[in-house]
Amino acid sequence: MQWTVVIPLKPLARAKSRLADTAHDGLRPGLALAFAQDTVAAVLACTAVRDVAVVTDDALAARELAALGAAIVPDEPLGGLNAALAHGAAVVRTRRPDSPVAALNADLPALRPLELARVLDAAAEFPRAFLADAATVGTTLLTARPGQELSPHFGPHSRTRHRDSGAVEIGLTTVNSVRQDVDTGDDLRAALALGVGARTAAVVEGLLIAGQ
Amino acid sequence: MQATAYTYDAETRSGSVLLDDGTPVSFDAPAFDAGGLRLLRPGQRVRIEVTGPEGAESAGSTPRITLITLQTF
Repeated sequence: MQWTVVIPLKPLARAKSRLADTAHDGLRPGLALAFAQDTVAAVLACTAVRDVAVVTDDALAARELAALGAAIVPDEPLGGLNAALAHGAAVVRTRRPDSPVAALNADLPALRPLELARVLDAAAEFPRAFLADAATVGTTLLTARPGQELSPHFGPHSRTRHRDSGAVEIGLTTVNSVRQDVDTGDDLRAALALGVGARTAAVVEGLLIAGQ
Repeated sequence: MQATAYTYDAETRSGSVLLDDGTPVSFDAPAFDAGGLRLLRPGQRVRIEVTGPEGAESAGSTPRITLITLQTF
């Protein structure tokens, strides 16, 4: 199955506020962009992926991610994460009604294409499926096969909410790079231990120098 | 997945792409015909579909291209 991946990204100036103890206000937007770039680059290199749509109103992020090969969908609802995802999925389905759609977080800097392919192949078995994040309370990926609405319930306790919505939890054990989203300094250290993409690595190098 | 057109021979309708990690992968006429294109220029961003190696033991070997077309989201 060839998936269309929908990735929501809020304006960089407001992104990753919980990393304030690790990266100061001037560096955080660049870090959020690097996470998104490494995420999108890994998704585009995944054999189970047909294409990528990023839902964002950030002009810089739109330009940089389009340059990697992502399609950009303006965040027209401006109603937060789930509204942006539902809108992105609807735009994808307007253009290709039979698309399998996967919503994926934009903050997966350690994402590996092969692990994403394993998760998406597993998701293809179910009408709707999701993958819990590394913290085991959230969600990094939610999928809907053709004919199924995405019905995203991201946000606090989204693992429980997605399970309650009828989506099947994917139980693969060795797909940590798909689970490791980054909200805090500890998350970033965990992602670095897994190995991050080139853009995040370059920005983090700047962080370490700035912290000396 | 996406890749970048690297070589194309109109006589044989075959050529090669570069994956985003720099790996060159060739494609044959059936893969080109499956995508419905008439021409390919080096440097063009393309969408490919592949079959072949899956799983850890084969991570590192190159996939076989079954379809090559332009990105048309």
